[in-house]
Amino acid sequence: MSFVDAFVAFLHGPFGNNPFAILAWQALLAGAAYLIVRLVRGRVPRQATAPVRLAGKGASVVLRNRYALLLIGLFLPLIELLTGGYLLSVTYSIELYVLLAVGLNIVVGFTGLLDLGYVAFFAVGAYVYGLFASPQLYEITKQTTYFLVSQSVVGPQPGFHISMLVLIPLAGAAAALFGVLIGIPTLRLRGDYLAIVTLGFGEITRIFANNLDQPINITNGPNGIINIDPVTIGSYSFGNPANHLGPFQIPPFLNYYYLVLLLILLTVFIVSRLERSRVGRAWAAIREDETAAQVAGINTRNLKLLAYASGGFFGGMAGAIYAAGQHLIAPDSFQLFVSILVLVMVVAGGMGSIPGAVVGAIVVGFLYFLSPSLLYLRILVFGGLLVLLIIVRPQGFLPSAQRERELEEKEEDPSLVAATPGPAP
Amino acid sequence: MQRCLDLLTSGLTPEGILQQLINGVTLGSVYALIALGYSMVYGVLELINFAHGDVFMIGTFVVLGVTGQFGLTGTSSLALVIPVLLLAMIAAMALCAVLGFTIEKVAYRPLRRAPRLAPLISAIGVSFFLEAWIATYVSSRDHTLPNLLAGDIPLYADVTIRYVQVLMLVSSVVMMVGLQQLVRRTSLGRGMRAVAQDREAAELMGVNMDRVISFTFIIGSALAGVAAVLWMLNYSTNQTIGFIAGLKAFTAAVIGGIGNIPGAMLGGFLLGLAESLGAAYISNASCGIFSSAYEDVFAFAFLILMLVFRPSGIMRERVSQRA
Repeated sequence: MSFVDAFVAFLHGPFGNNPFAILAWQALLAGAAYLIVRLVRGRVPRQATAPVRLAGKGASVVLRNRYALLLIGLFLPLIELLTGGYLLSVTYSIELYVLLAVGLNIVVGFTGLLDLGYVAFFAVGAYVYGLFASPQLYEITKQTTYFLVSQSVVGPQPGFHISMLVLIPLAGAAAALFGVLIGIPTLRLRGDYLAIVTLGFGEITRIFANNLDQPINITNGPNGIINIDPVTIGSYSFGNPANHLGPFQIPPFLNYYYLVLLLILLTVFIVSRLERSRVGRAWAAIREDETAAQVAGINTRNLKLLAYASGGFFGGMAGAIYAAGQHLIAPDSFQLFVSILVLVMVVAGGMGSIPGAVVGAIVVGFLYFLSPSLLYLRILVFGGLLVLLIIVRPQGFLPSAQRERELEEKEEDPSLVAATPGPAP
Repeated sequence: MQRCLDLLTSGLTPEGILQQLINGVTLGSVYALIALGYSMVYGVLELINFAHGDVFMIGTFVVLGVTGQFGLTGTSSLALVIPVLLLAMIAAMALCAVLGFTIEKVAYRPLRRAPRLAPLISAIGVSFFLEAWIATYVSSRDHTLPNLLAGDIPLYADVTIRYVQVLMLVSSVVMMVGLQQLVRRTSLGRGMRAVAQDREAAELMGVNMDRVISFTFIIGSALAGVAAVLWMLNYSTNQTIGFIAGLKAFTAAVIGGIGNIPGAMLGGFLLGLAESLGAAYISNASCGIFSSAYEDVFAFAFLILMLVFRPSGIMRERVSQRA
């Protein structure tokens, strides 16, 4: 009996399949866990918890150090290669989520605009890449299109086949434009209302992708776009499983892993410059108090649109690489759940902090992808952990120093929280 | 062009439109009941209770369970059907109320002084948890009740209104009027209005805020339980129904002006109408470009337009500061 089976059986309880019996058993478990926590809390001598706290501090030091993170990022997949392919593909997915989380952090963390439809940018990027690097648009063009063709393509092929060097920035730009389009009608909205509207835009994007096979077949409907070109550099195709480095075989995921790692480094570099620039400070001002920022002479309209555009740009790039790595995309991959997962990563990591977004994506990503992958049990465990996580540490793992200060100030003087309504989210 | 005009006019008959109006209003009455839960909680806590739709979903499964226990079929006599439905309603109301109370206590109360996004995240967590719980331990398939209370009342030409539709309309209106009286006349209602206006001032005036918030969740969730019974009379359920129905109900609450009880009712009716008319006529009206697959887009588009152009809702009550 494997660990997962034991865990499933434990959650199911000994009283059979009646939902009420299971509920009673799980309520009993939760109550027991609560009691144990209540009893243990404050009774354990400090020496006993010292190693745990030390380990936590050590982990936080390592995670705050970008070079240590980079080192882990460089060598983790090589170690995972020894253990087989599954972990590698999980790590690669998490990497894409890191890119998404850093992008969403600009919108939610820096500027304070709660976006629940971030998956739309990811989808736009993926579809731009999918349409212009596959035979999909053959029907529309009705001819062989052959400009800036990726080098892997031997001879003319139907449809567009534009090189990834053009397409990845183009996908980012398209998503950025989409961000501005979503931003314009929602400029006046704040807080929860903005969240619902962006959620709506995210769903609308997916529904359109799902139905735009009529009257003209653009997205190929629910079946999605297939036969998407892999990324190629020179004659080296990222998608070719027969690539070898000396005696070692290089799986496609490894190629994409390092490509995304490069993009993450670039993104983190750009975004951390942005944060400390005039633009970044203006974003922080909007987050703290939009009205005051406006009074201080900040063009809140343009800066909010810029936040959407920059967040969208990185989301779009992530989408393009996703499409290239998968070879196929379908509307089902762009469910609301993706937006939520990315948001959870940003919040769990600590809003407004770049290392927070990265670490949040890694921790939540592993939590999610490695929890028992039985159809719904994974989401069950994930949902429960989410509630627990946010209650235990509402400020996130690695909150930005500035935000942490703000929170502490407020904790010292609760009447302050009560008196000021505070900036929307 | 001519073909499009023909298409547009061919589907439009007064009977067809009237029938869609009736269907839309009954659908809207259920949305309105769910919307009240969002509206009340938002009014008191300024929190979108993302898990509210899932409380409603749990309610539908309770209704399924109770009616299944008594083995109701389409041919059961009225003497059996009505008591069982009443029992199902009481059970759903009770269970939903307990659930709403627990959710507030476990997931929202510890976060009352946390950053504003924190309760939203825990609400999302609760919502996923409930959906996955049902899918894991109960069922992940579609379920419907047998056709109870079959029969209809002819209104005009071919247009009819079914008994269940009458029941849905009447009970939701009764519930809403009852709630309105509760908020207007009882001391609990006075407390709710006070907390909604100014939490701190209300506390200083001696309102027990924790108690008011708990009761807001209990009442909102119990109404979701009623909505669950009415929903099951006419529609099907599965574990994901809470999300979509919840979203539409929230839209209804916003359309009507959040925090406003008659507003939620009006918003629900409008949204139900828009949805059923949209689904029925959009294909012809757009010359076949849009199909009824875009049904959910209408609700979202409606919400977005509403929030952009009139964020305080039709029944303007609050300042648009919050939007």
